[in-house]
Amino acid sequence: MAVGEKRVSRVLLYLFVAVILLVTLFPFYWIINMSLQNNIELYDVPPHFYPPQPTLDHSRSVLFQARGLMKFYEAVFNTLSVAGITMVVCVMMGSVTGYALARLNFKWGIYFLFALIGTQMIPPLIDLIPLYIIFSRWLKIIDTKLALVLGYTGWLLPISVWILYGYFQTIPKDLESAARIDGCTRMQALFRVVMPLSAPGIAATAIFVFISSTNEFLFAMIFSSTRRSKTVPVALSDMIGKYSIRYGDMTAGAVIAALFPVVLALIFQKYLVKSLTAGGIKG
Amino acid sequence: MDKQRFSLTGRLEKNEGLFAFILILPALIIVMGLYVYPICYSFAVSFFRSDIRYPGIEFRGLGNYIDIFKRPDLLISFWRTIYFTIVSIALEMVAGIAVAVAFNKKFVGRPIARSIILVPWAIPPVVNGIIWNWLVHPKIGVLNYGLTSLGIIDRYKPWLADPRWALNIIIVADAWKWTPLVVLLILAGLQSIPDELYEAAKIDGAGSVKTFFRITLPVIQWPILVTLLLRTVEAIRVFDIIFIMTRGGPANRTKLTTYYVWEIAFKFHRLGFGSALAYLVTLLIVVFAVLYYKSINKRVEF
Repeated sequence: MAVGEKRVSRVLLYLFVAVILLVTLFPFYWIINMSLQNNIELYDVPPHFYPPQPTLDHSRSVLFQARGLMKFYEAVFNTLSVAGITMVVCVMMGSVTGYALARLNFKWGIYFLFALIGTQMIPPLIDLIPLYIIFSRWLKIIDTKLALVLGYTGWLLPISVWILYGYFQTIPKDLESAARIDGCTRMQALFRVVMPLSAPGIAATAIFVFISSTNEFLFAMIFSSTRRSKTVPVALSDMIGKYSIRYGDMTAGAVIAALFPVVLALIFQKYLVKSLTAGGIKG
Repeated sequence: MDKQRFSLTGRLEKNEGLFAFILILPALIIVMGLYVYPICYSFAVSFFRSDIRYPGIEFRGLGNYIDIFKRPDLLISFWRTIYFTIVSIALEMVAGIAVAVAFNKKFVGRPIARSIILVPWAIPPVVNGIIWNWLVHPKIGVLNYGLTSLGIIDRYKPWLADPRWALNIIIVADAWKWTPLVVLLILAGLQSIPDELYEAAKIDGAGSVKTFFRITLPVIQWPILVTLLLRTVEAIRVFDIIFIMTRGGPANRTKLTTYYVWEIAFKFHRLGFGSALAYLVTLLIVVFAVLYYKSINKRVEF
């Protein structure tokens, strides 16, 4: 009796997992499938569930043909440089700040930590309207990559500090004390002992910041207007409606835009899960 | 000795507070410059007429806030935002907890399944919008094909042009992208439950339903609260997917409040009015946060 029951529940579990994976992957599979079909197959009814004659024509034309005043690969370049710089800045500042908050005794530390979490409750538009005024009227950096890096750092630095704060708490204090007794200064103990030990936490933060800034749309749309700073999501949204609509190219662009973050997420899955769940477990 | 006392490193060795201050200074400046100052600035702007069509600015007191309540379209958008938030989060939480409980059991290929679940999370929201645009396309969408082949609908429907369906389709698309995050957060909580607890419950003769409500659910209360908060904040400020899929249409049915804020502030350049509206959105987030906190606290005492 019990064995039979167990077998039934195993079968149900596998069935459920199969359904979850199908639902998870199908939409993404579908856009890849569309991007590989030629312009006639795309409009066929019923739709093709796999590309009859796979072609990379759309990917090629979306990347290198001018669309409006810019080419898509320029947007890819903008995205990668903005995300890369934001990542470096957030990791550098986030790790020293996270360390100070986790390890050192000082009066206002806890309030600063709460203020950092508080920033995440605020809708981005409250921040965006004044930043737009400051960037356009005073600093005159609208439509530069700098504006995007600044905007993203303001948004992602608090989260980075939070993730790294949690990570530093898991590193034993003894190692640091031992280094200090051996004659290391505070700085040396931090950079030679604690930082190397926190490499996984730093990697987790870096990958999270990189993917988040690659995917961001609202700030990018408001701060950038030309090829100097338009990122991939903005270039993609431009394709909807503005220029002569070529569905195949749009699907290929969407696949290219998703490829980077998806591949990164799968490679660094272990670290990413760590950073995403950093705030969730602690009480 | 003397030299060390006066040099910077010497002082850092003695004074832990100073060392901490130097370490957090860069982040402090960033947060002050990019958050605290702008937020104060926009709070101030929300009391002024700051409008590209009028030169200079004019103090309006609470005028901007009062104007919001004179516009029925804005009030309706508030209700629609609340509808969107509640329905999409209910969907994500139920699906997320179910998937997390399944993924916490041992099965062949579990590590791969746990990786695959990350895919929707990693997809940019803009791409998510484009993907779902195609899935529900009125002429070549696979949803229409599937539903007509199964005989559920008799002919192809323009889902996003249908006022009754547009917002619900967007909810499904948004939930598809964000449920994985819920799964990860809940799963992290579930993994902290020791196996012995379940074994003890089994020996005591507790069924799986009872085990879920008596053991699993109480332990993952904190992850659930965090997830609810995170997702509520994100859901209330949803913008990208609406911009891509419907631009607020049909007949303003999918124009949620954040979309209005964007339109008022950046399309019509009424920055003061836009700021006032953005502050009301924040108030909405605070209301949700307090409600969650209260409900969870009560259960802990119980």
